Amino acid sequence: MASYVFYSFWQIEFTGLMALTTVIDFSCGLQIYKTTVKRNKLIWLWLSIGSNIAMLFMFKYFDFLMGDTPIAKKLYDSNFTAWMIELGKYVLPAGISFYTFQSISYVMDVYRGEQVPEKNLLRFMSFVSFFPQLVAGPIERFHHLYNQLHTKYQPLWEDLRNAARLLIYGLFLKVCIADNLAEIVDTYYQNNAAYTAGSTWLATFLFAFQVYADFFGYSLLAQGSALLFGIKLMDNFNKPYVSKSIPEFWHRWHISLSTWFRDYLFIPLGGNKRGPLVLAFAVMIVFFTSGLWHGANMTMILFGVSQGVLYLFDRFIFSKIKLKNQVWDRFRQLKTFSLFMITLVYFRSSTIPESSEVFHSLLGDTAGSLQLHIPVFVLILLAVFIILDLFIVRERIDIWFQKFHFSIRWAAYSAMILCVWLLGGAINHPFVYFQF
Amino acid sequence: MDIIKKILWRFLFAIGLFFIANFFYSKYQFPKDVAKYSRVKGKIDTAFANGEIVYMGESSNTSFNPWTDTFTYSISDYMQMYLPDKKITSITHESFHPGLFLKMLNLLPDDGRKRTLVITLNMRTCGPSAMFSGNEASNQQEALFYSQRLPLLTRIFLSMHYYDNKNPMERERLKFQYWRTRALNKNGFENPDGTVKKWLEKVAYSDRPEKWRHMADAYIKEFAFILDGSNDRVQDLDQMVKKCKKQGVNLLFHLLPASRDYAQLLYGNRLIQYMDYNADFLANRYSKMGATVINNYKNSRSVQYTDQWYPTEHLNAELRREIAESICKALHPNKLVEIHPEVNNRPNPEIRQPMADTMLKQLGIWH
Repeated sequence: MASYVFYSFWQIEFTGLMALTTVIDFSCGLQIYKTTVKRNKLIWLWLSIGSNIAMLFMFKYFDFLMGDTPIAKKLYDSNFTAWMIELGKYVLPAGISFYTFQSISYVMDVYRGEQVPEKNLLRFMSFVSFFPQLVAGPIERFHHLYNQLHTKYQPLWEDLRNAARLLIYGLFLKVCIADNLAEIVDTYYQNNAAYTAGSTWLATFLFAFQVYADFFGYSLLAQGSALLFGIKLMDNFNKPYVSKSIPEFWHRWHISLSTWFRDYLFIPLGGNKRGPLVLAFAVMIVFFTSGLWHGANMTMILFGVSQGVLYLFDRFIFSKIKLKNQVWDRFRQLKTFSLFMITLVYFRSSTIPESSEVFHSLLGDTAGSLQLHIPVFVLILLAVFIILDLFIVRERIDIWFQKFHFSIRWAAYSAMILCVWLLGGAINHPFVYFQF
Repeated sequence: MDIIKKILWRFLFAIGLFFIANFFYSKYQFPKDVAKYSRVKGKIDTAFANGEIVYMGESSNTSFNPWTDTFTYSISDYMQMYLPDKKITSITHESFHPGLFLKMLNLLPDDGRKRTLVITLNMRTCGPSAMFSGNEASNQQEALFYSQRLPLLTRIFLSMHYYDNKNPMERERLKFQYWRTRALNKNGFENPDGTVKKWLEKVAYSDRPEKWRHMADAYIKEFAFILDGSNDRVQDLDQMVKKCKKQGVNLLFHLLPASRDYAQLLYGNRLIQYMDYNADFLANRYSKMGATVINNYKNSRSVQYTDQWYPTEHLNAELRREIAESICKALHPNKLVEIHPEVNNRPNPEIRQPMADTMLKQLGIWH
């Protein structure tokens, strides 16, 4: 109930949409369990998947795929369907890509016999709509979240304390790092042709940390909020920028989505057990879908496809070089980070021509003369974050903080709180992953 | 109980930290943040501190016609010429609207001085195009500083984006929703298209010249709406009247002219009916509520507008002076001095402004 109230604060219409998806998947789950005929199970499964894809299509991909076609025009002529088109065109229902995937995972688990379906609709609704992770993940699995949701709540000091740590650090990452970097990156992208090649490299580097701090910060806030209620959400990040290869990177970045794709798309498509051709095919399909999942835009598809290509390059070519020394490891880390950073140009650009301009500029092909400026305090904050996250902290931040003496801990918390209060970015940048 | 005690201790620590930080922030950083994030705030403080009459308006105050205006005095400048004995100050910025003026009233000093506020009533700012403008988030961000709250709290609100921070796409959706759902043929109005959306489609697919279609599209978007008490801007204006009454501030609204001639030319009575109704609605509502209302809505000719192809209230010097005169007459009828309007609007013979009516006549378009 609280989750629905929370969700309806933004757009009340979207609450109905989420309820509809939930009811369909709940019913399909029950029907799959009841029927013994395999063909019927499959029909119910596809009904559920189809309804979720239809929702995503209407609200996320309709404008991208249908644009100004006569069908689109006809639908826009009727008030009954026009609001859907408007919503999809201008404001995506928050978290639609997350809760539909969470719901699909439940139905798939029931279909595979790995999960007994929930018989109480309200309880199932609480799983799909659990508010801390509703709008941008982590995409939780039923068996992990459900039991926690319906265990009697007993406030534990340990949980509250860890929750506070996660919330403070998450806010620090979002408000101080991501929002301040966003201002600089946005300045660049508003007029990218006017900047020098050096500034383009700088903007590309900063964006890599903006999107990381933004989404990592969100994930910590989600974990912290859930922990206030005694619920432990899965970790969504695990030091992705120290990865030595792209396959490893995707095991550390947006873990809940990567594992979702692994379990519900990559393995059913053949996975890595049927030879290199099937593997390559499955990888490309997964990354193409992942790109499309990120946004109804050609640039996002190219982002996904480029990740797929890099993944295969690492898997089939680069991983063959077996060297065991520190320098080689550092080189691999640098290579992985740099390649990911460069492909993020697709992620950040709104159009293909824009991304192509940025790539040209990265190669020095630009007539721009403007230099991108970074305020000193942003530089210091970023340096602190990079040193902490990439070189010092090896575990989750709340666990790491426990190691320190009371005075050091509290000094660190106070410093982070003061940074949030005094140095937060002024321009409103919604969480990057809210748009998905 | 133990948990509550622990939480309480930490809460007290946070409060202590807040007040210490607030002390240092107010002293060293707040003025810099005001200069950085709310450039108008300083002007508002100065205007309220120094003015007997404070003119609050949007771009209509200061815009001028580069083709005809030798003198670029603003409306408030002209007012100062008419009333040299009075100290007149102004708060002007493009895309300001009643919602922001209302927040600015928070900064009125409580010094017992008698002040008069002259506030622009711009009909268009009450319509969907202006209400759901993409600039609004930055306006609202600046408006965070129009308050008497603790400075650090304002900074926290800024960091947390605690203001109407809808992004341009969300506002665009609300605008389209407004055009699609608000009926134009209610309350005795006649309009065969029913909504702005349908009307705009007719314009887009009509066989009229492109020039006409662009102009008609803009005029419909800006003026085809029906005002009532539920309109956000109207509610802001209501609040302003109440607040000024409470604080003993003399309030004068002046209803700006709208380019009625062109609306008439494009669509005859079909568009004019809404404009006239809305102008009457505003003038009557605030007269009844006890504010002085100067109604200049019909006092303009198409030639007096700087923007000929798009409806704005950017007026030439002649009209700005006339408006200033009408306001001053309402404020202090016996104190006006004579100024020499004939030298204040000397057209530049070198350049001629392309007039929309000439063009439309040449195209053979008369409704």
